[in-house]
Amino acid sequence: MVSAESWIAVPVVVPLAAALLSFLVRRGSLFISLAAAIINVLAAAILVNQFFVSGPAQYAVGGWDPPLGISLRTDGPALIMLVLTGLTGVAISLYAWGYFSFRIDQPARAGRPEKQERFFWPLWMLQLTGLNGLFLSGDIFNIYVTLELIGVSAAGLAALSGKSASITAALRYLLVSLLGSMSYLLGVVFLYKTYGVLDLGLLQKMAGPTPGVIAALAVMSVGLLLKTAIFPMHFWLPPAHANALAPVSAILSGLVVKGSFFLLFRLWFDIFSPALPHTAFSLMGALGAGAILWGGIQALRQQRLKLLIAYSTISQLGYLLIAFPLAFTGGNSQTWSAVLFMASGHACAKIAMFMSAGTIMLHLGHDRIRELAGIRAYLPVTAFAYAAAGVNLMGLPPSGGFIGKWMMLIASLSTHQWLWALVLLAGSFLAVAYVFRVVEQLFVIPPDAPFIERHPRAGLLEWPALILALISLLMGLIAPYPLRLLDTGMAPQVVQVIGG
Amino acid sequence: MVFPAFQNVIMHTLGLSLVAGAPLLLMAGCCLRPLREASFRLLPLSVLPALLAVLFIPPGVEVEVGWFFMGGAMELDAMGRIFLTLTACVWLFAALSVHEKFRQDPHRFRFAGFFLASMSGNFGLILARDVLGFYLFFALMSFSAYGLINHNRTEMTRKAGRVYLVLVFLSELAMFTALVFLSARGETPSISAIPAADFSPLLLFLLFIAFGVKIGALPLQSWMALSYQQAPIPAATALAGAMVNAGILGWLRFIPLGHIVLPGGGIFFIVMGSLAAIYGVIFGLYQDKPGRALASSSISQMGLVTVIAGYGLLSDEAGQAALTLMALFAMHHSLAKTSLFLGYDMIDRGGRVSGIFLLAGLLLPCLSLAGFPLTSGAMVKGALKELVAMGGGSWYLFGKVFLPISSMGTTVLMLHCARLLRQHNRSNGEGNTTVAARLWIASIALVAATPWLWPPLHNLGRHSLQWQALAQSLWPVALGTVLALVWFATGSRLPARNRDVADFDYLARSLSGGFMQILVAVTDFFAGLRHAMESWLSRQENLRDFIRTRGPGKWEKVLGRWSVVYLFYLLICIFLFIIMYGTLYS
Amino acid sequence: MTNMLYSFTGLILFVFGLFALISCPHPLRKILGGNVMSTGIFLFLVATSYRTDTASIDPVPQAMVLTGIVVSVSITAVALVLATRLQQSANRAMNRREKKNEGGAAEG
Repeated sequence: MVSAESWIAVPVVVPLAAALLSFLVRRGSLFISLAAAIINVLAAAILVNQFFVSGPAQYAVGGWDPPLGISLRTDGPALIMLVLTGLTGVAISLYAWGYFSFRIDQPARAGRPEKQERFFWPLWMLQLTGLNGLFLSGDIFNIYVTLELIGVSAAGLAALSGKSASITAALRYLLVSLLGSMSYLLGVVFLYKTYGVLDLGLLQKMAGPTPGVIAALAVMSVGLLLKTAIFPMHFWLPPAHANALAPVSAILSGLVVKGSFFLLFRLWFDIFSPALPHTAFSLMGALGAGAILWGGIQALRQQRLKLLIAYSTISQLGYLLIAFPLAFTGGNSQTWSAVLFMASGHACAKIAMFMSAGTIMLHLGHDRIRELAGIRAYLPVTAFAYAAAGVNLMGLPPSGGFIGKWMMLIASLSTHQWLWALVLLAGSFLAVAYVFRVVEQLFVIPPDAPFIERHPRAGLLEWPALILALISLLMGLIAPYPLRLLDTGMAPQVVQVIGG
Repeated sequence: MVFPAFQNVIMHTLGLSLVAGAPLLLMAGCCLRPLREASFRLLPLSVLPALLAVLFIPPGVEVEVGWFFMGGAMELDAMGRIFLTLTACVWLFAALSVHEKFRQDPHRFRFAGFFLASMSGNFGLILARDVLGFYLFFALMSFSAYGLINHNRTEMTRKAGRVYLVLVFLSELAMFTALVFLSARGETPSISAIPAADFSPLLLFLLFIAFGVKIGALPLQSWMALSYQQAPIPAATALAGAMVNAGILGWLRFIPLGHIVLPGGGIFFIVMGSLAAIYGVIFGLYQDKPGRALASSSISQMGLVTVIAGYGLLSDEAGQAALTLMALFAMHHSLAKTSLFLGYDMIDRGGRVSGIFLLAGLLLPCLSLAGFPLTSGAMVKGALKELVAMGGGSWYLFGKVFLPISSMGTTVLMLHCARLLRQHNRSNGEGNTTVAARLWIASIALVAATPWLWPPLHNLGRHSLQWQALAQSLWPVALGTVLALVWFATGSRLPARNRDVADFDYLARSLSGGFMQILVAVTDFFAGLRHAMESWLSRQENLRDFIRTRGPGKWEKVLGRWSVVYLFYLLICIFLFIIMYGTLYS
Repeated sequence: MTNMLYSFTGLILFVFGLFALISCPHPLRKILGGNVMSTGIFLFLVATSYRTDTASIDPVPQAMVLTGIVVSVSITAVALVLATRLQQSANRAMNRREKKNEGGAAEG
């Protein structure tokens, strides 16, 4: 039915079809989307399997080969991200199911949650299409289109709650993402003008330090940094993430920022690394260090749980950038694998945290940190999920965060870049402080705690969060698998078959 | 011919993985509602893979587990085999006892979960050949043991748990720092290949803290008395008999004894160890609860282990001797301690054994610890004397004086322990005690038989049978017994005994709690500082405004302006361009 | 030469649009600024399809411009919807405030 190599198109085509269908068929939109998410994760698994059997794959859409045609391709980094979006996609879909049915059950504001749900599913599926397309695409212009798709659907999702604050944030978000993708497009034009090709593989062979490439890389990088909300250009993220509906916050904070970061990663490490000097990597590292410290400090200041989590995203994104100078001078190919590994661990943890925050908000009606005491008494699974995800942010073993930070720490010590090691440790201490600020509230039950009845159907809200949190917590234990996937992916000539 | 070899590899991998994996699987079962009843019933079986591994896995088998946590390796080497045998036996006793004692307890699944998790950590760290794997399992064991101590969440257990947790955090921090030092060359070494060249006094000090907490080395011992008394007796058995050994194993694995000579570090270890040995005796004599007295004896005995490690650091050949001696000592101590705790358990449950048997059964491990002739204690102490002789010069003299004193002290303390155990009133003697009694008898048999049946001790055993050796080991014990009898006969009086030593606050302010006192003082200081700051701040309107509006909050607002973001956008873009352009023409 | 003229005009338009997007506070102007930016890029892109070596025109940039225009239109539409919603909610808030003020005045 589906030929072996065209499985690669499934993660793009199926969510797109689901988006259109669920827009047309209002009743079954939930089940259409859920089915699409499950097919998506299956396709990701099949692609990983194919990758281990026969190495990186390429698929020319419509039978047109590059340079004219558009190609989809799989390699280690793309597959890691694909599996990540697949797994978290199913979890988010289940959570959203629980979330909307919970809100529809509540009599207040009749009609509104139904409307939100109706628009949520198509937008979420479009978002999934865009992300999968971004990861799989082998063509820089096609990537621009997926970037815009991600930006538009993310802005739509952010505006769903309908409150004036969230619409303001969504508009700002849309404009920022427009600015970011326009910068990226300008870079695409520079590259096309210089080389006359758009295919990533061909560019990788040609790329050298010429003025055209440099100009392109400068505008593309700054645009993507803006879209990834790297300090000091993070101003749009906290309001957009904190004012959205809970499943939307999870999508935005966990997946969307990872999309543009993935592209930045690909440009710097995969395509243009020979053209780049060390100082450029150090500049990225400096931005990352700023993000870690500033995000951590701001997270400590916040009074609302969702804002705290949003600022912790800013801080955690800094870790991904600080790995740039370490990976460049470390010479150890493992360090950059650590970047994507950490990114996926953070995605799982952050999604779990926003889900827990959403569950808490549904039950309490607010998310003021001072008044959260004693959640454990009636939402034990949620409280535990938050704490487990927090372990990942703090970077304690055996979480994925620990592996990532450990590899960065060792890289910085072995190359005598002490400064980065200090920033890593300072960031961890800040994370301990802002995670414990909430966890201690959740777990300490005051004697006069109000009794709040747990919603009977809260299972769909609680378990996806717990499973994602446990994945992020236990990811370190199977770290060699994803790391090997990444290693083989970046150097196609040394493809190894596991077990062989 | 290839096929059977391949099959062996699979069997070995599976076998070694199950040693730590089986308890974890059962723990998962204890967490799931439909499976937990069955999982609890299978609790004692969780030790089975470890015992089978000891029996059937040939020496020198190393298994790469590439998929696990940064790529690890497992091996059951000679040292590991001693520790795994011992640890598995202790955990088996503890598991059988837990299985019997907690049958009706409402929180039994939670307790079993923590129990199995620490068991898995303890087995895993013995097998781990890579530094990170060891660290991971050590952390699993240490943190899960908190659940064993704070088992019923009363005020007292929570206090004990908190003290334990603070010290465990300290130990983990020290261990992590040590690991970072070890890996600073970019490669994380495997445990067998820790380079002696990289070994600095600072690293040794970090390792002293990291594993000293587990064995109750002197400034870090305050958790022991509290936890042994507050934890349920089977859990205390595991803590005292098995988990303590993990600390010793940590030193054995990480300090390349026999390859390094660090006289300064050695003296530090000897001094701290002998202080702990004496301190444990004195502190123990003040106790009137069996758990606390047994904990003090652990502190004192582990002081001797520290002394052994210290002598091992003085010279190369002493290092080799210390390596084996520490393992033997660990075995000797944990068998005896396990037997004492099992006896405590049986008495606590109201088991009935006629007076003379009870006395004999309790005295055997006590005398073994004291070093009475014909017991493992005498053999180990004989070897210790030889080790001391290698120390040379003043340290030889020190050992000559110190060892008999310590033996005497131990004798008095152990007799005190036996007396406390005999006088102990059973708490709530319900249920079946036959299991407890059988376990106790088995453990006594083990204590009595091991020195004569276990091959590594044969040489030492023959040595200890010579007349001179017998006399040398007999007189301190005899003198100690006389002292103890005199002390009992005169009413066991001690200065300032009348104060309630079980009281935590007294403990915190006594010598033993010196460290806790510092901790409390530090936290108090910071709390006071914060309080003072807050009250001062509340009076300073201007300053508060500054922090709220001019500090990070204000700057975050500034960063939120489009124009500022635009500025950064241009700056970063231009910087990147200039940096890259500069290298183009340089 | 004309080719260069087109390219530079495109870049200048991009910068103008960028400036408007940043400096104008009104949402509508920001959206228009974004539009001007994209137009600038499209102009630049179209200019690249001129080839000196062959007489023919490179068709790829034209396809890219067409795609880009579609994307740009849809983004503008979404942004306009959001801006309208924002205006509506601002109006509602203003009305509510005025009503409150009137009510307060009547009571006083």
